[in-house]
Amino acid sequence: MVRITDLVKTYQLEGIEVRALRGLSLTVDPGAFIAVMGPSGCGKSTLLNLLGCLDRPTSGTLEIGGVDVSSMSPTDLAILRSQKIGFVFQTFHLLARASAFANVMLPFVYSGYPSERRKPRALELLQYVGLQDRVRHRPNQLSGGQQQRVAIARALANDPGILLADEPTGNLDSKSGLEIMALIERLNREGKTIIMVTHSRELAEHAERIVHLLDGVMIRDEVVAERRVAEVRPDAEPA
Amino acid sequence: MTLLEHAQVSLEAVVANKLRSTLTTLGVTIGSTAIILLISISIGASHEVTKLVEGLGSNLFMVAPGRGKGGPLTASPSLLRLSHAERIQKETSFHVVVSPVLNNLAAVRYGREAKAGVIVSGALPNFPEARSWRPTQGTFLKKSDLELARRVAALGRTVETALFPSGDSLGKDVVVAGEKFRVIGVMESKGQLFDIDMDNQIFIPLTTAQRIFGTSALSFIFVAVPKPDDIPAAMAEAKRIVGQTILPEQFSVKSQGETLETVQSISLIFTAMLGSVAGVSLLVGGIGIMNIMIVSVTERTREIGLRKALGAREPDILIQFLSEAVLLSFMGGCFGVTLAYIGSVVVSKASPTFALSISTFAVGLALIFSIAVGTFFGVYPAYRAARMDPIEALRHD
Ligand SMILES: Nc1ncnc2c1ncn2[C@@H]1O[C@H](COP(=O)(O)OP(=O)(O)O)[C@@H](O)[C@H]1O
Ligand SMILES: [Mg+2]
Repeated sequence: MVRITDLVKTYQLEGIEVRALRGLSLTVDPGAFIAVMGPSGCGKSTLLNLLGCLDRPTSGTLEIGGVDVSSMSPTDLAILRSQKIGFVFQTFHLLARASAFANVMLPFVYSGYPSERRKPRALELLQYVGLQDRVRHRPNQLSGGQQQRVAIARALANDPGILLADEPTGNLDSKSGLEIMALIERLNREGKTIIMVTHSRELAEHAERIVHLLDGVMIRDEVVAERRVAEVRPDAEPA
Repeated sequence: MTLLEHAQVSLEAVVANKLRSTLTTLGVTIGSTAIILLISISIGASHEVTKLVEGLGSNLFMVAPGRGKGGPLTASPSLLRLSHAERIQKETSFHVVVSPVLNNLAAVRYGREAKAGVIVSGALPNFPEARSWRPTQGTFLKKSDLELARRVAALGRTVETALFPSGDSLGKDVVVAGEKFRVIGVMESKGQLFDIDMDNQIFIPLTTAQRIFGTSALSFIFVAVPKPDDIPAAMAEAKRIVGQTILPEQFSVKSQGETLETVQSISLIFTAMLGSVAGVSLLVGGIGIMNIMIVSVTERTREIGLRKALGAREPDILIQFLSEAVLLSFMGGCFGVTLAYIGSVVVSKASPTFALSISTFAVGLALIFSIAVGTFFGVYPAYRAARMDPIEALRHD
């Protein structure tokens, strides 16, 4: 479970205070699928970075799995990130010189994953995202959708409970975007907690709940009445 | 993260930029080459010097004509006489062996074989004792040879080999300055002293030498003292004794130690020169590595952000970039070892008398230095990488 209470994040920008989050409270149950929407600059990424323990709140508390992380040491936060949280970014952030396989292997060194199980695990994950034939390809030899699949496989490496996705389909065409949505839905069905930022109302409707932000506060917490499902035939070959 | 994993990550980064990595290591390569050659040369030189001390006898000093520089074949007319040698022998408080010599260059001939430019040295029977230089075959000059000014000779090894390739010189007559000399002995080999072949020499009675060269002057007076510690005091006495009859600028008293000091100071200058080359190139190399690491850290800002997002802690990032710097520098060190080795082979081929052998100690030291340089100059860039804010790093473009 993720619970935030009165979360405030203020940036100092050349002496001017930028209030990115102004007292946000939110509870996300385990296994939930939440979409975060709002205009550009309303604090969506700030929220996700705080949830991912990449940044510290100015005030307020953040609990992950019942533990208050706002007072944890940088080392403990790093361990938490490596074990409980998976990140998916809009721009993929793959290592350009490394193969799909090597990119998926990357998180293992920081979590101390048993070395003899790394290779099979990475191959299994690449198979899971449908890239078993692209194991040795480098990012520039892959399409955008395929690159994001590699990034998702990497996010899953240490089997985290929470997946944070900041506009995961923002750089993709609508077909690849839907395929990524299908993958995220499937992960959610298999028990992962998903928190996804998106600009698209349609994509947000794949989630069970949409949190609307404006200027650092929540203006609406909407339960999706009719959830969309990304229709992908189970036997279809992913592009 | 294990050390092996760190090494692997660093190696991948270094290999990814082969040309840049190689160029970056150049400074350290030159630096460690210089270190290795420097130490190997000075070790070689000190071996050489020790050999000289042993060869000449560390308890020896000499009185030479002129001031200071008088080499074995000094051109200035010598005012040293046998009487000086006799007075040194009589008047010093030490138990000394005083052995004067008269040297001249001449051709030595046997049958159709001739050797030009041989040092013909008129000596006394005590010469072997004074110089620790003894015959290996036959005998040296005897007292009676001197008294009767006999025409007998003990040959240096080079002369013997040149005139008697089959080695049967004893009892044969060689011709020096138009006169026949009976060979009575062959001296042990002394090798090179600086650039003079000590074995290209023959010894004849001093009295005979004075007669055939028509002079009563001496080239040197060698004085051997019982203990090396006695040298300074004995030298002072000899200086005083000789100074009673000739002017101070007409002779000099010098010990082998002083000669060796000159050699050592020359090798010290050489060492200092190579040392500063080594120091400067290691410094430049280190700064080069620091520079390229700062570039590398900046280029890979997003990678650093990503690694942090994936759970890398500050020490992980620090070690990653530090070991990359050390790896670069260590590679430079290894190239340096290779280069120094090639250099030593080339030098040894070019001049066989100057056999330069690479010392293991020097190789070890150069490698340690290269690692130290990488560590020292790698810390700052690595620290910068480790301290990056993950979010800003991820946003970097
Ligand atoms: N590091 C920062 N320094 C200063 N201001 C920042 C920083 N990060 C974000 N902001 C500001 O905080 C606000 C929220 O940013 P962000 O969370 O990135 O918005 P969103 O992701 O919703 O577009 C914006 O006004 C942005 O300019
Ligand atoms: Mg954003």
